[in-house]
Amino acid sequence: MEASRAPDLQIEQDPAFQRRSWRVERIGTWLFVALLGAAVSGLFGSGPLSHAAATVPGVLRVEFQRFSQYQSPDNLLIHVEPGAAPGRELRLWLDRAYLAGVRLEAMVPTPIRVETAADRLTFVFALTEPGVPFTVLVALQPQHFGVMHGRLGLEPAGDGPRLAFRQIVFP
Amino acid sequence: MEAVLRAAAVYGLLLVLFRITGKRSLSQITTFDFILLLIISEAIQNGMVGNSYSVTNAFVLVLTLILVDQGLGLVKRRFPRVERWLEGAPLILVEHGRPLSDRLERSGVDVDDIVTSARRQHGLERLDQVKYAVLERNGDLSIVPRDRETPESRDRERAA
Repeated sequence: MEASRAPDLQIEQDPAFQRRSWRVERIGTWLFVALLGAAVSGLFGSGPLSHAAATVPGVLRVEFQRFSQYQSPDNLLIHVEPGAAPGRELRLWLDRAYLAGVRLEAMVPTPIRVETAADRLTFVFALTEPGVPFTVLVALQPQHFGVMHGRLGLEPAGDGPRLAFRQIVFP
Repeated sequence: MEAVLRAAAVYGLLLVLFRITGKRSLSQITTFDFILLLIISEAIQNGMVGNSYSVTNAFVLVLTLILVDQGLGLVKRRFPRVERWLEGAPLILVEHGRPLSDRLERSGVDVDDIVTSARRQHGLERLDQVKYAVLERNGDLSIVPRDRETPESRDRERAA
């Protein structure tokens, strides 16, 4: 860009600054395109990069979002394999520290009762047909942002099958 | 991913809606048009934001809207045919003080609108002082006044 070509115009141009700011615009736009790509792939929640699962083979499996968002709907999908709950009741526990950080919106199916312990809540489900696969949908909304650690498992026995998972919650 | 899809869908739907209902449907000419714009943004908000109170989500939505808009601008610059379909072409509504009534009626502009713009832009008093009135692609009316008596215009007239 040449220096001012309009000598009769009262104007303060700054070609050097203009060139710099165009460069910033160009680089910034590409950066934002990259961010959009990250958003599509699920880096900020919902998407292939975000979807994850933790498994105890043959027993228990939880599907969760690696990346979640503050006060936005999120789901846990907990699958229990047929052999894992032989009785008429299924006892699934979630640790209290995790539940303290989320607002529980719904649980489908609804448990018949909830039992409390110092470190966990145990949700008891009635099984009309023992020995078939069982899935619980937990709808929740994170109430804090940062890293959340979740643990869940099946009772009886304190050493029953258990899983741990980690979620990053964006503000 | 969901936020990106929502924002892109809203962008596309609004683009089609406003393109089809005509370019003057929302060019902020009256106070009520402005109110309409506000109500539309309220109405579309939930469909786009959903149940989320997350800043990250809001940022992704805005990012998508802006980049889709920029991308479309890039496509328009490269393919003039796309630009014509998306933004239309300018249209002359008044020629040498003579309103072209068929065009006026079809584009939903009346003579009042034209004299209003003529008064505001050039302080003209009557329609016959308007050389051209053009409905621009963005829905604005632009007015070219008849030549005032200047040395150049006199020369031109003499030459003609």
